[in-house]
Amino acid sequence: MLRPASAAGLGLVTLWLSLVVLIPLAAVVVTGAQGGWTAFVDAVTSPVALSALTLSAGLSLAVAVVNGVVGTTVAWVLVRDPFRGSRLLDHVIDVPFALPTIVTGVVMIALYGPASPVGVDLVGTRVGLFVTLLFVTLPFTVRTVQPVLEALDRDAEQAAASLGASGPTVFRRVVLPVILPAIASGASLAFARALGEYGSLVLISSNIPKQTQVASALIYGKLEDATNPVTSTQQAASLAIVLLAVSVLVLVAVELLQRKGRAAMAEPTVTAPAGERRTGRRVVRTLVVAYVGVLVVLPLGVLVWRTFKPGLDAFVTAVTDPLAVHAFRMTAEVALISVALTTVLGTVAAFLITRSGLPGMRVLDTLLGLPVSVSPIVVGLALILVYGSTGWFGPTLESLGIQVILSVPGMVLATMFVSMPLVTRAVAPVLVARGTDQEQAAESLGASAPVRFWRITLPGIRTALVTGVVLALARSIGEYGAVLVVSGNIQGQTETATLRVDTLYQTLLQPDAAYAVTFVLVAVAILTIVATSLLRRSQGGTR
Amino acid sequence: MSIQVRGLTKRFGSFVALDDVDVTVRSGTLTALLGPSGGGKTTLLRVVAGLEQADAGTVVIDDKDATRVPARRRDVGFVFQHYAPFGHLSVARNVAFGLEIRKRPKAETAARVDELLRLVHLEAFADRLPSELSGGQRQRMALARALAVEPKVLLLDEPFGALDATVRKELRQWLRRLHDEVHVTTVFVTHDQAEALEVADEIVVVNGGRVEQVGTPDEVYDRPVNEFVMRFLGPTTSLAGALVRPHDVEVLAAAAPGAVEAEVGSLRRVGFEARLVAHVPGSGDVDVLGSRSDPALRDLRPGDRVWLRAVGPVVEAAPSAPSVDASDDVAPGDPVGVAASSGAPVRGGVPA
Repeated sequence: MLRPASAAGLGLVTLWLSLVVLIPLAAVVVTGAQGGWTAFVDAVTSPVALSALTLSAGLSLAVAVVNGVVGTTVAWVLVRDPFRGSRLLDHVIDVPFALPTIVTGVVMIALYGPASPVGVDLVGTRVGLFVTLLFVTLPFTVRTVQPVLEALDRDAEQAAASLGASGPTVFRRVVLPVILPAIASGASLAFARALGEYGSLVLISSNIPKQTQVASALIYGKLEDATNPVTSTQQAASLAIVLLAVSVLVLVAVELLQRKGRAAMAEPTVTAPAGERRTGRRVVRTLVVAYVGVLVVLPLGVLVWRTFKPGLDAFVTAVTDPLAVHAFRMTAEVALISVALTTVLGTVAAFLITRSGLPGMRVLDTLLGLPVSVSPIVVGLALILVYGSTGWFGPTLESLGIQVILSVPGMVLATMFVSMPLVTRAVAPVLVARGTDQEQAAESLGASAPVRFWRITLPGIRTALVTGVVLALARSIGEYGAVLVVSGNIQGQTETATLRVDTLYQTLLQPDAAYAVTFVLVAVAILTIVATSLLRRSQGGTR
Repeated sequence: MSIQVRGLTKRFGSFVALDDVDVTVRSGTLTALLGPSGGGKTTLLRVVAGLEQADAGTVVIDDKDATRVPARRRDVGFVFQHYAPFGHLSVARNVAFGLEIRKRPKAETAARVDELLRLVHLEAFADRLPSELSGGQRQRMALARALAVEPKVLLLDEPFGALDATVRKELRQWLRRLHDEVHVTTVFVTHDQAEALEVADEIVVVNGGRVEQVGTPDEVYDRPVNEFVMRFLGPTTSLAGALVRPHDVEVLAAAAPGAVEAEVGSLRRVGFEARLVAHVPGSGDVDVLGSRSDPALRDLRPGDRVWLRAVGPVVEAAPSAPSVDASDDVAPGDPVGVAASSGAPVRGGVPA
C-alpha cells in the first residue's frame, strides 16, 4: 500500500533525479550518438582522444592498484595497531575528500610546482598527474576496508593461529578473503574517480595534448572550442559516453562487491584488545605515517608556508579584494541554496530507500552513487546539453525568462548533483540501524505521524543529518569542475571561490593571491573535518 | 477492560502467522500467550495493539470494535521486546511522552510521572538517558511509559526475554505484584513455560498460528488437551504408549493394576532430585523423576525389577503408523484402520 507521504516523496525524488541526473545523462548519450557510429568512433579514436583516454585509464589503473595496497595497509594500521596519533592520521585521511579539487591542484603545485621548496618540479609530467591522483583517491580504499576490518571476527584469526597458521598465512587465508570485496570496491571507486578527475590535475598537467592531457580535460577543451561548436560538442559527448559507461560499470561492480562483502562478513563480535606489539608492526606503522605525511601533510604545510610568505598584509589584501569577496559571496549563495534543497531531498530519499519498501529503491540507492564516479566535467556537459541555450529545455526556459546555464540555477543544479548523496548516505544507515520500534512505541502512546517524525525520528537522526549537511556544504563550497562548465566563469558574476583560484592562478598569473584564496578554502575543509569528527563523537555518546 | 479476538488471520507472504484465532481475555486478568517462537503469539499481540493489520477477523477491546482503529487511538499500552526507549529523551521525558501528546497540564504530567517512577522504582533515575540504564531498568521504564497514559489494556512482548536469568526471575515476580496493584488487563508473550506458569492468571497456548488450549496454569498443566501442550509445558516421557511427566511416574516394587514391568537401567542423583531410567521390554526407556528421599527409589540398583504406573496427566502419544490418505482408493464401506495424530483424543486428562 502506497501511503500519501511515500507517494509525494517518491514523486519529488523521481522528479529531481530526472531533472538533474537522468535527463542530462540521457542528453549526453543522445548527443554523442547523434553523429552516427562513425563520428562516435572517430571522436574517441582520434590520436589526441585515444592518447587522453589511454592516459586516463592507465593512470587510474595504476592509482587504483597502488591505493588498493596502500589503503588496505593504512586501514589495517588504523584498526589493528592504534597508536598515539592514529586518530589524527584517521582525520588526515579525510583531507583529500574535503579539499576542493582546484584547491588540491594548488596544494600540489605549492610543493611540486615551479617554485617547489624541495626543488621537484612535476608540472607537465605524468608523474605529477600520478602523485596528484594518489592524493585525491587516498581515502577510498581506506574507508571501504576500515569498517570491514573493524567488524572482522578476531576469533577466527586466533583459531587459525591455534591450528598452526603463521601470521602471513592467517592474513592470506582468513583475513584477505573477507576484506577482498571491500578492497576491490575501494580500488574501483578510486579508479572511477581518477578516470574522471579534472580540477586537481588542471594546474599540474599543463594540459599538453598526447602527453599530459587527461580525458576530462580534453572534454572540457572540446566544450570551450568555439570554432565548430556543434561538432566539438558532439565529440565532447562521445568522449563523455566512454567515461560514463565506465562509471556505470564501476558502480554496478561496487554494488555487487559490497553485496558479496556483506554476505561474507560474520556477525561482528567484540573486538579483542590490540595484539602484541612487534617490530614488524612498528615498521608498517612508520611507513604508513611517512606515506600519508609526504603525500598529504607535506604539501598542505608547504601551502601554508607559501600563502604567508608574502606577509599577512598581502594575504588580507588578496582575500578582501572586491572580486575575491564577490566570489566568496557567490560560493555562499550557491552552496546555501543547494544545501537547503539537498537536505530536504536527500532526507526524503533516505526515507524512501530504507522505509518505503517500494520496488526499485535499490536502483535509486545505486543511482545516488553516480556523482562519486562521474566526472564533474561530464556533469557540467550533461546539464548544458539540457539547460543550455541550444539544449533540450534551455530555449523554452529562456523564453520564460529563466536563465539556467551561465547563471545561479545551473550552478545550483550542478552542485546538488554532487552533494545530495552525501545527505542520503549519512541518514540512511542510521534509519536502518534505528529500526521503527521507537516510532511504533510513540504510535501506541498516541502520537500522530507528524508528531512521530518531529519528536522521535528527527531527534534520532539529527546528528547524522547534520553530519550529512556539513559534508554537503563542504562539497558545495568546493565544487569546481561541474560549476566551471555551467557557470562560464564570468568574473564578478558567476565566479565562485574555487573558480577564482583558477582565474587567479592561470589567467591573471597572480599565484600569491591564488594561494590566499586557496588557504581560506583549505581552512573551511579542515573545519569540516573537525566538525564531522565532533559530531560523530557526540553521536557515539548518546547511543 | 476485556479483549475479544475473533477469527483473526494474518499471512506474511505464504507464511500463515495467525490461522483463524479466537481468544478472550477477561477484564483485569494477567494472561500469558505461551508458545514456541514463530508460533504467532507476537503477531497476535501486535494485531491487538494495532501495530499490525490482520487479513481477516475482529479485535474488540473494552466491548468496542477496534479492528479499524489506528494504534494511536486504541489506548493500548505496549511494551516492546527491546523496550524501544526514546534514546534522546530522559527517563522522565520518556514516561511523560504519552501525556505530553495528550496535552495534559504540566503539573498533572509531572505528578503522574513521579508516581509512575516510584511505582517502578526508578525515581532516582528520572534525569538519566535510557542508555545509562541497565536492561532491567529500561524494562521498567518502558512499563512506566506504557502505563502513564492509563491504557485500557497493557501488552508486553517477551518482557523478560532480553534479560539475564536472575533479573528475569526478579522482574516476573515484580510484574505479578505490580499487576496486583494496578489491575490493568495485561497480556504478555513468552516462550518460557515456567514464566507463564508462575506469573499468569490464564495461559493461552499458541502454536503454528492456532490456539491449542486456554486455561489457568493449573488447568493447562494438569489437563493438557493434546500432546503439544503436554510436551510444551515440561519434560515428558513415554510409558506404555502414552505421554506422562517423569515426576508423575510411580515406582512400585510389586505388580499392581495398570502398572508396567520394567528393569532399572540407571539411577542418578542431581541435587535433591533422583533420576531413574527404567527399561520396559519391547517399548523402550522411561524417565522417572523423584525426590532423593523417596524410599521407592533410594535403594534401587541397575538390573532391579520395578513396576511403573502413571499418576498424573497422561496424553496418548501420536503413533508413528502410516496413515491412509483420504484421496487413496477408499470407498464407502471399506474397512480402514484409524490412528490418532497430534491433537489426538485424550485419555486420563479432562479437556478444559
